[in-house]
Amino acid sequence: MTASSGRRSLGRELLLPTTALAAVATLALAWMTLDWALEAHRLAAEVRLVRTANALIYELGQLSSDAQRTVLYHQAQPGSAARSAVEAAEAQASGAVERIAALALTERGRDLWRDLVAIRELRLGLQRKLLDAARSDGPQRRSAFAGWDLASERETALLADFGVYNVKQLDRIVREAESRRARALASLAATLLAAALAVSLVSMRIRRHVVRPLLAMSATAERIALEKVAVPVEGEDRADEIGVLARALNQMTADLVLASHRLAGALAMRDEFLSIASHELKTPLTSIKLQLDGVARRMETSGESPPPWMAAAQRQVRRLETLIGQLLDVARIRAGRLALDLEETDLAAVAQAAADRFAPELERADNALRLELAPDVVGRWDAGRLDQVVTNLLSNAVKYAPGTPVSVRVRAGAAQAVLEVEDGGSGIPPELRPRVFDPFERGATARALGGLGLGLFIVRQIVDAHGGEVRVEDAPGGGARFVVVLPRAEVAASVQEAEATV
Amino acid sequence: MLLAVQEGLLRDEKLDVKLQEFATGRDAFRAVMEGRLDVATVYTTPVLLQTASGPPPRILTMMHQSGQNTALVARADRGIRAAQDLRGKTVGVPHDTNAEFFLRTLLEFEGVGWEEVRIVDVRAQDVPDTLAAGRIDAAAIWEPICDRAVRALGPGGSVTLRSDAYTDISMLVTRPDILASRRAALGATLRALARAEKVASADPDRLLRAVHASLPEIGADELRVQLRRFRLQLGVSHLLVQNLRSEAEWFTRAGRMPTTADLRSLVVTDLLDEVEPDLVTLEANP
Repeated sequence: MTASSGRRSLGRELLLPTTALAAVATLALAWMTLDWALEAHRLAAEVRLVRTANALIYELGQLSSDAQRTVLYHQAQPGSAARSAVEAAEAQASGAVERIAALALTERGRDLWRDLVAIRELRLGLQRKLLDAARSDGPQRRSAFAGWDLASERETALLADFGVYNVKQLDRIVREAESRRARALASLAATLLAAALAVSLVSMRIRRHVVRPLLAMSATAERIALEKVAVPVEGEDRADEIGVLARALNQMTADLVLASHRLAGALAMRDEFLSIASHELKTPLTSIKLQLDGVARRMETSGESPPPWMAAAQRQVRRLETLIGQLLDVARIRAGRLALDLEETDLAAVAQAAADRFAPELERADNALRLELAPDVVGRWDAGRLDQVVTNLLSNAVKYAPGTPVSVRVRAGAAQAVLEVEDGGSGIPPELRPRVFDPFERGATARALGGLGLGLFIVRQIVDAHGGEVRVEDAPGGGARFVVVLPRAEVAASVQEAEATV
Repeated sequence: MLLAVQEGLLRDEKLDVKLQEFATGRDAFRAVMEGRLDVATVYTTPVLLQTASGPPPRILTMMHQSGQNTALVARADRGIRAAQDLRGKTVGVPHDTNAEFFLRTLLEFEGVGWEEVRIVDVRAQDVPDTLAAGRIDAAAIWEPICDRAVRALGPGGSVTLRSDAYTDISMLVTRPDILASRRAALGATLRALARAEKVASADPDRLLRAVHASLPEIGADELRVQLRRFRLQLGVSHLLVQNLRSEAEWFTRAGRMPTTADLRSLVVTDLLDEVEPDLVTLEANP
C-alpha cells in the first residue's frame, strides 16, 4: 500500500456523515410530505363522498316525505291525479336511491343503507296496497294504513340515522385530520430534533477531530514563537490532512529552530569579531592619532604650514576613532557591560558642549544650528554618555539632512528632562521608524554616506540605561525630530542601583 | 353475549361476568329492576311496560334486530291458514313479552280485532306442549321455542305466520343506579360486545358454536337457519327509538301505558359513543 492510498481524507470523513444526514433528513421530510398529501387526498375524497351521500339522503328524505304527504292526501281525496303525483315523487326518489347505491359507502354505511332500502321496499308495497284500498272502507283500509304508517315512520327514522351517521363521518374525518396534523407535527419535531442531534454529533466530531487539533497546533505555534523552542505539535501520527499539517509544522519548526541557532551563533561570532577587531584596531589607531597630533604640534611650533593631507588624515582618524568607539560600545552593550557613571549633570551644558564641539561638522554640512536650552536642567546622569547621545543625534542630522536647519532643545519637567534634536530633512517614513533604533540599520538613501548604522542604536541603549526613552517623530517642517526623555535624579539613581545589582 | 363470554372477550376487559339464563327476557329484566342482576338482554316490550309501572330502566345498546324471529304457530287441524282465520280462536302468548306485541301487530295489519281473538297467557317454555295438547289453537312465540312447537305438532301439523311489518329488537338494559355506579364496567361490557359482533361478522361459525354450546338440543344446521334470521347489531339509533314509540302507541291504545312516557330519555348514547362512535346514530341525550 502506498502512502497516498493509505491516507485518509478528513474531508471525505466529514462529508460522508453530513451528506448522509442531509439525505436522511430530506428523505424524511419528503416522506412526511408525501404521506400527508396522500392522507389529505384520501380525507378530501371521504369528505366529498359524505357530502354527496348527505345531499342525496336529504333529497331522498324530501321526496319520500312529499310522496307520503301525497298518499295522505290521496286517502282524503282518492283520485288518479293524486296517485300519479305519488308515483312521480317515488320515481324521483328512486333516482336518488340509485345514486346512493352507487356510492362507495363504508361497511356501517352499507348496513344502514340495506336497512333503509328494505324498509323502503316494505313501505312501497304497503303503500300500493293502501292506494288500492283507498276507495274501500273498513278493516282492510285501516290495517293497510297502519302497516304503511309504521313502515313510513321506520323509513323516516332510518333516514335520520343515515344523516346522523354521515355527520359523524365528517366528525371522524375532522378528528382524523387533526390527529394526522398532530402526528405530522410530532414527526416533524422528531425529525428536526433528530437532525439537530445528528448535527450536534457531527459538530462534536468535527470539533474533536479538527478544531481541537488545530487549536492545539495554534497554541503550540504561539509557544514556539514566544519561547523559541522546538515543541512538536500533536497529530503527526494521523493519516489525514491534520497529520499532514502537523508533520509540515514540525518540520518547519525544526528548520526554523536550526536556522535560529545558526543565526545566534553567527551573531555571537560577529559580536566577538567586532569586539576583538575594535580592540585590536583601537591601539594602532591611537598610536597613529598621537603621531599625527605630534607632527601637527611640531609643525605648528616651527611655524610650518601643515600639508593639506594632514587635516584630511586627522579627520579620517577621528572618523575611524568614532567608528571604533561605536563598535566598542556595541560590544559592551552586547556583553552587558555598558556602565554609567552617574553624577549631577546639567543636560543643557552637555548639549551646549556637544554642539560646540560638533560645530565644524555642522558648518561643513551647511546645517544652521539653533539651540534652545533651558537653564538648570539638572539630573543624576552620565555626562559622557549623554554627550555621546547629543553627538550621535547631531551626526545623524548632518548625515541625513545636510543644508537644513538643526535645532537642539533642552527643557525640564518636574520629574523628567527632555532633549530634542530636530532637522529639516525629508524625515523618516513611518514604516522605518520601528527599526530605526536597531543596530546596523541605515536609511537606504544614506548607504552611500558611510557609517555602520550604530549611532541611534547606541543612543537608545544609553537612554534605556538611564531609565528613559527615545522616539522619533515628524518635525513640523517635515524633518525628523528625535525626542529623548530622561528621568531626573531619583529615577536615574534607581537605574544605577539596578545595574550595580546585575 | 354468549360469544363474548365464550371467546373470553369479557375477561379480556377484566370483567368477571356471571351469566344467568331466563326463560324470557321479561323475567331477566325483572331481575335487573329488582336488583338481582346488573344488566340483561331483553326485547322492547317488557321495557316499555316497565315504564308504565315503575322506575324507568336505561337502554345501553340494541343487541340484534330481526323481522323473522317471532312467529305465530297454529295448529293446521283448526283450519288456520291466514291471520284472518284466527277470529274466534284461542291464541296463547306469554304476556308482557314482544310476542304479545307481535300478535297485536299481526292481527291489526291483517284487519283482525284484538277482541275477535281469545288471548290466553302461556309461559314461553310451555307453548309447545300446550299447543300439542290442543288447549290452544295457535301461539305467538319466538325462536327457538317456535321451532320446538312446530316439531311438537309434527309434519304438516302446523302453519307458521310471520309479519313483514314487525321487527323485534333486543337490547342491553340496566338500572340508572348501576349506570351511575358501574359506568366503567358497563363501558367495558360494550367494548367486549362490539368485539364479539366483529368476530361474529367475520366468522359466523364461531357464533354458531357459541350459541350451540348453550342450546345443545338444537341441531347445528337448524341453529344456523335460525341465526340467519338474526342480525347482530349493536347501536343506539332513531330506528330503536321509533320502534319503542310505535310499540308504546299500541300499548297506550290498549290502555297498558300512559301517553306521557319519555322513551327517548331511556336510551343512553354517550357510553356506546365512547366505545364505537359509528354505532351511535342518535343525537346525544340533552
